[in-house]
This record gives sequence, structure tokens and C-alpha cells, in this order.
Amino acid sequence: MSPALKFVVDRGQLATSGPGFSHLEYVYPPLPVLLSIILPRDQLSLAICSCLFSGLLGSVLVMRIGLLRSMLLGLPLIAVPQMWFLSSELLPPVVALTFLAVALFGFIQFATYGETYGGFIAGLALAASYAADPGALFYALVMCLFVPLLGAERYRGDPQGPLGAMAVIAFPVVAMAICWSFLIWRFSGTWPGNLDYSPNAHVFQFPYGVLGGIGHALGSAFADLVRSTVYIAAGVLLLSRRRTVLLGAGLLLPVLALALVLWVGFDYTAINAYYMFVLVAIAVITNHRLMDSPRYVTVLVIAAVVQVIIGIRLLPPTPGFTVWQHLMFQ
Amino acid sequence: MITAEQLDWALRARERSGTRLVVILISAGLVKRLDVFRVLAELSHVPFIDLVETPPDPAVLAGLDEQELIREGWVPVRELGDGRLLVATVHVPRPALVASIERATGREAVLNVTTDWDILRAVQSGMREHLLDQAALGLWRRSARQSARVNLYPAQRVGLLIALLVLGACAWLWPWGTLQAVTVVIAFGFLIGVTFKFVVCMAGARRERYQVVTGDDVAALRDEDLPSYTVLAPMFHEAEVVNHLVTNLEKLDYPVSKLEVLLLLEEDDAQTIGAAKAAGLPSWMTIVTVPRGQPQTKPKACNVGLFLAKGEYLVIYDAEDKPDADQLKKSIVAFGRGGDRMVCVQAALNYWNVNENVLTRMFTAEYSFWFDYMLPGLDALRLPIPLGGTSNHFRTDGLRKLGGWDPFNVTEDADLGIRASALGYTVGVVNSTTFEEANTKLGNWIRQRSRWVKGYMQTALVHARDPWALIRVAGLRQTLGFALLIAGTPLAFLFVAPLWLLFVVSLLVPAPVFAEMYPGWVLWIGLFNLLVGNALMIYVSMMGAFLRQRYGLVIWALFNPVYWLLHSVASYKALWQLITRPHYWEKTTHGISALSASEAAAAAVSGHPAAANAPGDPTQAAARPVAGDVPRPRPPG
Repeated sequence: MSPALKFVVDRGQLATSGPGFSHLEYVYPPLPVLLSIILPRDQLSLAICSCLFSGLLGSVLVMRIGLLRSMLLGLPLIAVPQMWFLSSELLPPVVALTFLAVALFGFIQFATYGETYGGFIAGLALAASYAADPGALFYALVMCLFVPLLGAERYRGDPQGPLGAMAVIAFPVVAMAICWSFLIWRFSGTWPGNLDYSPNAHVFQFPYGVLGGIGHALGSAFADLVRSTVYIAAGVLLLSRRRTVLLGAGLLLPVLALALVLWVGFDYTAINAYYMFVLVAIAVITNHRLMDSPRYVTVLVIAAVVQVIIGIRLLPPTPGFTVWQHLMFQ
Repeated sequence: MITAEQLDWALRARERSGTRLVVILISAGLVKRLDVFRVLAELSHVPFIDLVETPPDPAVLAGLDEQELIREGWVPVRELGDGRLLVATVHVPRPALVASIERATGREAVLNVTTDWDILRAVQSGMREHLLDQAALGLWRRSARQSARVNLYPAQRVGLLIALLVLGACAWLWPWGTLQAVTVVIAFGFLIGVTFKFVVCMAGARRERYQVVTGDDVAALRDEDLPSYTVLAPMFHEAEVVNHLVTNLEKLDYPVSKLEVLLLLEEDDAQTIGAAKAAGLPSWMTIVTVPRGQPQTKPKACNVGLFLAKGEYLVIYDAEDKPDADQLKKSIVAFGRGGDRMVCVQAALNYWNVNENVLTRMFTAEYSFWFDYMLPGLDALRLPIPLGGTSNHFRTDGLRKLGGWDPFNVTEDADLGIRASALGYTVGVVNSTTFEEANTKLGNWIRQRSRWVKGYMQTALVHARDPWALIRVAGLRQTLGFALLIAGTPLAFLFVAPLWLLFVVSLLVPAPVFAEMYPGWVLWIGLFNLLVGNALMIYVSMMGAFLRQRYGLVIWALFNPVYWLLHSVASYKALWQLITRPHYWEKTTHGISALSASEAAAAAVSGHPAAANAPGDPTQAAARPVAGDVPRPRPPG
């Protein structure tokens, strides 16, 4: 069974082992651990939960962009076995990515058209995403970086506009982080919670050294990018159109932000990055109507197929995947 | 004398608007009111009568309906020696009119001609006592249960007393258990209140792109189809803003021949009356002196205005208001779409002196949240809408059926919105904004807010007298909405300060002890309220500011918890006054902003919501017709 699920179950048991809230520090990330406390304490219930969230993510995509486009652009998610593993076994990232998908569509409505309803959705979904995976801070950072690009027309001549938009996007997730850290501090005396929130998280521990870690993080982030051909294709297509050149170039921002969070030590595996890049690509492609041109569709479908092949052949296996694959298919 | 060109214009305007020629000429300022009616008297071969010099005998006015007199344009003056009745009218005394008057009075009538202004004034002075009585006690006489003249009915007093006694006894016998139980109730109350506000706010946010009325809708309106409109502008000790008000009302995009502005000035406020007289009011603005008497409140003044109003529709503006130019027209369209049961539409309020200090910033963020999310959300969910202090547009008949404003309620507007729902009417919102002056001084703000909170308390007590009737007529959902909004708001404010105190104390108690003081689930709800509740309220304020494109304000919303503490202070003052001076009207001082007129105008324009660039952009609204279009007389020679 997945070490990630086992980790969550163990945390749930630790959290409830002491009197009152004294072990609240182990309820981190809160949502999966709380689910493990509420649900029957076995990994199956959490795996079912994970599948439900995956289904929710699928329905969000279908609702937003339609079944056919979801199938085409979502091919790298649907046809790669590691994604099946993620969808059923890695509860925290699945929950976080589901909320990220919700946040992305809201964010585009908000940043591009100034619709505050989209802002509400984006902000709150990011906060929910943080509750599942502190890596959501990274999503918020990326969205903030994108505000000036998406809303360039809208905020022209008003420098406070992008700042206001960034505040609106980032506030819920930051508030969530502060609030939860406060609770942990209040009841367990530690702060800001147990940051080893997953088996691969080493927040502020810099195992490759502070400076050496930068090179390693950049290398990992760009390796993740190379495996995301749909994302690259979307970027190239945006760069090929004069009015979206800036946005196309802006697609490098998530890569740099990813490098930043890897450097800090957040648990952001190749599989997470792969998933996240696909979601961002889908959102960008939809918003900029790249699927309206048959030529572009061809490029994107080819990119999706290539990414499926890369996903099957070249995506580094996540811990537990090999065992899971063996159990499932042999 | 008017020129042929001016006459042609007036005739065309009559064709366009369907208004009497005489009204067009007067309202355009082409002729003097007195001259026109003197000529009318001459042409009708009847004497002209000046009702200032010959005021009506109150005895002959007794029993007549003052609104009918104003509407029909006649008033009995006195009994003649031969037993006939001398009647002043603004119309050509045709036989049909004479017959109608004789039917109404039961006497043979002799008609003289006078001006419409004289009629209004004559009714006002001749029926002074009646007017005063109706304005102050009309609602109470009609339905005492709907009036806040008595705040607590005996049954309510007894109920409250019993509740307090039971609580006291429990606290005496089981202090710890009682504290826990009270905490649970408060925690649940907050949880429900915050959730309710957030859900309503989201419902409002979903509609942000939906424009009740678009610019095209307004452009499609024809002058001849527009109904008459009365603007009520109550003022008290506001001499310094009279000129601003006149200027702002002159910018309204509505044919002045169909517009009537009544400046409601208190009889003993010589300063404001003097300023209004000196302001050189256009002919379509009239000073109405509100008879002195208790309670001396804005709703009483508005009731006087309601009695004298001739418009089919009516709106209230405060002295410092800057309404969007097309607001009246938008309201007409909104009424048309709202159905016959819609008695009122509320325009959004916002502030023009946003960046003056911290208080004005917080106030603006709050108003943006309230008027741009909450009210549209309440509208979308078909919940009762507590009206804002100004820019409430009414069907005049509907308002009269509701009984007008309650002069004993210090938030008469909120009360009226709830009363409308309780009686089965609907209230809507319209996408137009009136800019006001935000309070710049803390003391002034506390006074104003304490009055609002006290008014909410009064309104809650009034409508809680017969909750079953409320449920029966308005429905359970509306009643719950009312309870959460009107009763919940002051309660929430009252508990804010003690809860923050509790929080500070909790920080001093060791965490394990604190965790054992309350059951886990109570603690969780309390913590949820503290952290998530505050965060959500901050967030909606941020969004409100963002929606209004006041980007600089977004970050200021972080101070919302402090702002709520100020609300708490105001709510304790309100509670104290509810007990000691329930009907006392805490006057808010206006005209204290340090901003210049041009700065204020620029700030107002920048504060329009995201839809500002859509059709109907108020910044592009057409200038008021008539005045600019009227051909001026050529200079002699």
C-alpha cells in the first residue's frame, strides 16, 4: 500500500493519541489527517476518498471545457498508470490538485475579467487546497505572478490593481496557513506545525545545501517541464501569437516557482508537477481558445500523445508505485 | 414674455413628455410661476387669489383628504357670506371641475385661481395639526404593533424578564454549566450568522455581472412615458450642504417637468431654511417646513413629504448625496420588471471621500460589501432587504399603503424594508450608486452607528411581536432571513467585544486547561468563528473593495476585526440608549470632509463597480435635459 496513505493514517493515530488537542501538530496537513480521523481507520477508506476527489476533478474539467476536450487534453492524466496511482493512493496531492483545478478556472475569470465571484472561488479553493497540501502556497504564488500578465489590459494605469488582485488571491491561503499554525502553536507549543508533513517533505532542511539546493531545484523543475509537452506546446502556441506573447513567456513563471518550492523543501514530486502542469495547460488553452484552430488542435493532440508516452516511459516512479503496479496488474 | 422659439420648444416638450404646458414653462424657468397663474386667472375671467395673503380657514379644510387636494390642485379657502365656498384652484375653472369640487365639499363653490405652490403651502399650513399628527402617529394609529412607539410590549417585557431570571438562577446554581451553555449558544449564533452572511454574499457575487437595468434600457425610455417623480430631501442643521444638494439634484437625468423636489426642513431650523431660500432654488424644488413636534426625526419629516408628494414614484436623498444621474430612470425600469408587488428598489450607496482616513476606508469597504454583495444576494435569494438610509425608490401609492415610515424607529428605512416583506410586498435592488460622505470622525461615526444598531434592535423587537403572523405572510425563509439579519446583527456586535476579551484571557490560560474547560466540539466551533469567521469577513470586505475598483482599499480590509470592535462599542451605546432614550435620534454631522468638491467628484467617478464600462456607465450618463436645451430669450435689441 501507498506509503503516503500510511503516513496520513499514522498521523491521524498520533493526533488522537494524546489528551485534548495536545497532539494537534500532527494534524498537518489538516484535511487528509482529519479525514483519516473521521473515517474508518484503514487505508481503503482514504483510497476511496482519493478516488472520489479524482472523480470530482474530472467532473470539474468536463463541466468547464466539455467532455471531448477533457478527454483530449486530459489524455496525459487518463492514460498514464502513475496518474491512476496518484488518483487512488495519494490523497493529499489529489485533494490539493482538485481544488487547484477549481481555483484555476475561478482565477482566470477573476484576473482576466475582474469577476470577483471567480476571485472568491479561486481564493477559497486555494485555501482548501492548502488544507490538503501546504504546496498550495506554491499555487497561490504562481497565480499572484500571473495576475499582471492576465490582467494587463484591465489594470493598465492603476498599479494598485494587480496588488489588490494578488491580495485577494493570496489572502485565504495565507490566512489558512497562519490560522492553522496558530492553533498548532496554541495547543502543542510548536510552530508552525510539524513541517515534515509527508514522507518526502524537508521544509527548510536544505539536504543539498542552501546554494547547492538552488541548482538541484532548478534542474528538477526543468526536468518536470520537459516531461510536460502539452504545457510546452501551449506555451509555444501562445508565443506564436502577438497578443499572447507575454503570457506564453509567463508560462516559465510556474517552473521558477516550482524550483523555489523544491528548494525550500516542500514535497513536490515529479508526478505532482506533471499533474499540475497539465491542469495549468488545460486552463490556459481553454481561456485563450487555442482549441478553436484545427491546426492548434493537431499540435496539442500530438503533444498530449507524446506526453502520455513520456508519462509511461520516463516519469520517475513515485514511492509505492512499483508495488502498487505489481499488485494491480500482475 | 417668452420668444416664439421658446414656445415652440415648450410645445415640443409637451408633446414629448405629455406634461401641462404651464408646468413645462415654469420648470424650465422661462416664466415665473406667479405670472403664469395670474394670466390663467385673467384668461379664465376669475380673480387670482394669493393664499399667503389669504390663508385658508382650517375649519373648511376639516375632513378633506389632503393628498387628494394636492393631486387635484384645489383647496377650499373660506365660507362666503352667502354660504358658498370660496375655492382656490390651479386649473381653468371648467364646469366639470366645479361639479367635482362641489361633490367633494357638499357646498356650492366659487372658484379663484392660484398657484400650485400656494396650494401646497395652504394645505401644509391649514392642516398643520392634522399633518403633524399623521406624520408622527399615523402608523401607530393604523397598526400599533408595527410601530416602535412602544419598544417592548408587556408580553415581551415579561418574556425578557423571565429569561433573565432563569439565566440568573442557572448562573447562581450551576455557574460553570451556565457559562458553557451560554458559550455554546453564542458560538452557534456566530457560526450561523457568519455562514448566512457568507452564503448571501456569494449569491450576490454570482450576480455581479448581471445588470438589473442596462444603459440601453435607460436609453429606450421615452420622456412621455415617464411617470412623475418626487424627490424627498430631509435636512436638519445642514445649511452648509444645501448648495451641494441642489447642484447634485440638478444633475439628475429626468425631465424636470415631471420632477418634484421637496426639501424637508424643520420648522425650527432657521439656518437651513435661510440657506435653502438663499440658494436660488429652481422652480421644481420646493421648501416644505416640517411642523415642530415630537419625535423630531427624519422619518417624521419624510412622512410629511409623503403626504405632500405628487409623484407616482418617490425617492429619498440625504443632503450630502450624489446620485448617479440616471438613477431615477433605472429605477423606473426596475419597477417595471419587478411586478406589481414590488414597492421599493434600493440603489447602492458608496462614499466619495474614501481615502480621507482609516475610518473612511473601512466604512467604504464595508458599504461596498453591504450594497454590492449583501443586498443583491438578499434580492437573489428573495430574502427581506433592510433598506439603506437613502436612495430608496418607492411606488408612492404602495408606500402610503405600507403606512409610510415609522417616526419612532431610528432606522426607519430598515424597518420599512422588513415591514414591506412582512406585508407581502417585495423590495428589489437597482444597479445604480449614490455617493455619500463617509464619516471622518470617530465620535460622529459611533453616534451614527449606535443609532443604526439601536434601530435594528427596535426593528427586531417590533417584528418579533407576532412571529407567527410574519411566518404566515412572509414565509419561514423570509422570517429566518429577517431574524439573522436584523436581530442577528446587533447581537453579533454586542458579543464581539466579550469574545475578544475571552480570547485574550484564553491566551493566558495554559492550553491543556483551556482544552478541558469546554467540550471539544464547542471549542472547535469557537475556534472556527474566531479564525475562519474573521477571515471570511475580512475576505468579503476585500472583495467589496475590489469590486468597486478601490484597489488601494483591499489591504485595509485586514483591519476589519478592529472595525468590528468599534461596532461593538457602538452597539453597547445603542443598547443603553434603547433602554434610556429609545426614540432619540443621534444626529450625524455631515459636511465635515476635508475634500474639495472636485476631488470628491473625481473620487466618486472612480468608485463605480466593475460594470462601469458596460452600457449605462454612469460616468457617461447624459446631462439632464430641458435646462440645457431650452432656448434662452434673446437679449433686447
